[in-house]
Amino acid sequence: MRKFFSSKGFLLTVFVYVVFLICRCAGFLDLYFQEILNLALINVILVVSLNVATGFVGQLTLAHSGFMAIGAYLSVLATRYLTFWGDFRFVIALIVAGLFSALLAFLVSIPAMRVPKSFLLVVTLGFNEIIRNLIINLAGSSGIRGIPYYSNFYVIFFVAVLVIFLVYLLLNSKYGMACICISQDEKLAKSCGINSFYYKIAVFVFAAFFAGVSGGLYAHAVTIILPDMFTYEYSLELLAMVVIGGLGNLPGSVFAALVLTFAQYYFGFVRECKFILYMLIMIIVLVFDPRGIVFLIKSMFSRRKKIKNNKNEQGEKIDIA
Amino acid sequence: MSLLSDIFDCLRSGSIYALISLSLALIYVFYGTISFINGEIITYGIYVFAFFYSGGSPLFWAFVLACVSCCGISLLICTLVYKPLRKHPRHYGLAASIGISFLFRNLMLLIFTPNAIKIKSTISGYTKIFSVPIENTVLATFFIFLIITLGGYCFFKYTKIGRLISAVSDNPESAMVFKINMFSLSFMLNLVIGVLLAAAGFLFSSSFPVVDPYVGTAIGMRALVGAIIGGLGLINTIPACVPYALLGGFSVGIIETLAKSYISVQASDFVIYLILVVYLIINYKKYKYKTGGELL
Repeated sequence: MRKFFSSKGFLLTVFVYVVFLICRCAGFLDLYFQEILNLALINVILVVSLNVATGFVGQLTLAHSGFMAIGAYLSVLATRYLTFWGDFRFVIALIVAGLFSALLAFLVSIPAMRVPKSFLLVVTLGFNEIIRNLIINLAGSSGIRGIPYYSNFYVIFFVAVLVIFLVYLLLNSKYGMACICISQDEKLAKSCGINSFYYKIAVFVFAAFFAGVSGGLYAHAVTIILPDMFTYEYSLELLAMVVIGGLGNLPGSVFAALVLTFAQYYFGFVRECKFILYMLIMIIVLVFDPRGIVFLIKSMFSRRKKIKNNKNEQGEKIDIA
Repeated sequence: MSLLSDIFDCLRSGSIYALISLSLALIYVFYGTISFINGEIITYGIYVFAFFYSGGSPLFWAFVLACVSCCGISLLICTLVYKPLRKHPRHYGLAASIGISFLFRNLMLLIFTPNAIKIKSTISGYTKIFSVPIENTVLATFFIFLIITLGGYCFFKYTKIGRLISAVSDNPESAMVFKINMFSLSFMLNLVIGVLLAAAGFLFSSSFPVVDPYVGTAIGMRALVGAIIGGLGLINTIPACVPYALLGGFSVGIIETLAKSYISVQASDFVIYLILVVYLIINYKKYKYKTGGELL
């Protein structure tokens, strides 16, 4: 933990927070930018939590927006019908939303983790559509309007930092090592005595918990929720962000979520052909360097430089015949 | 009479699904990835066929052009994406596969526009066999299906190139020791896959002569279920997997037709996926011991 507080990422986070506060007090930031920043931070929560399931353990799930939908609807119900505790009920609503989607994820994962890995994709996709159709049937396709605005920048920023911190702790523990081992070679992991079934379920539930929480944040930031916001295409968008940032790459996924969300809202053509661009970049990253787009760009430039100086990675001279 | 028409529907949709699930099994055995893209390739093939056929070119040449374009797309995707991802863990290939499928569908939406196009009818009328009227599309579908599957089986079993393909899929490392040219083999395999997919698209469009960019997706997914039921991941050699994949695809066609006529049209998808999940959970142990808990 001491390592975390002295790490570059933590210092950068504090720096960004202070800069944001100064800019906001000085009035540099317009309202549009602040709203987009909130959405981008919600995407950061989603992408980081999905990266734990997809990148570290290798469970490709497309049910993330379904869990988000459950969180959004439940938290809205909670803030509407909990009349006591004033504004503190929002926190209760978020926790309820997260816990309920985690419970649902646990129930789903018992059969879903028995299905071979490739078909987990299809099963979770089907699960997402089931949730969406259930919501349409129970709450109507017109959605809920007039939700109170609770989730300001500070709440979302706090949750995002909390998620990143938890994932960082997980990664640097022996459990994180076990997760990475499962994703690389499941047979080897089993031969070392790692209970892969248990890890898969635990990680799936963890991801679903934060998906539910971010759903609650999303509902109280946008103040309107519709069932059509939570299609499996949104899950695929999140998966693309995870892969572009790098499978199993924590700073990469934060970076990818921020940049891609801002690009979507500031440039019209990105929103127009969102899927074509995202999928194209995702495939390029997967084929050339699955560690992430930052590594890909870095290796592209460094290779050119290396050939210029006739040096290899350790700085030794190599002969080019 | 309704039973008879059910049987003909089974034959028709079963043949189409069997062709696609055979192509899926071939890609899986050779490249080691489940391919979600095949449905989109079918849609693309139908578009190419419709473009040339309604442009006035004869049926045969339109079909050949569709075959060539399907083969080209399949070869491009397999060599550029699936082959380099063989050395990574399996879920990388899966993510790439579903990514390409979405990319391709959205590209088709952009190029061909989401409006449905009507295709000029290719096969029509009835033929009486033993005083039972049978639609010509059913006959043609079954006939083409038989020719292609028999041809494919003989190709992999008896010709030299087919034997080489099965050798490479069995053990790529030792095949490289014997200096087998991988690129020409993957070209030949994709030729077969392109013909299978174009034929499936042609047969589908002869029965349902309307095409939009979403046509192939549902067929591709159901054919994938067929391939899984036919032992995808359990039988990993090429001539052996052919009859099982065909059987799996055919059984999905039969289940779909029965569910459509005896339960309801909306329930057919649900029944198919339910059967898939039950099948996977029952056979979990088999996959576990063969492939280490994952469908490779």
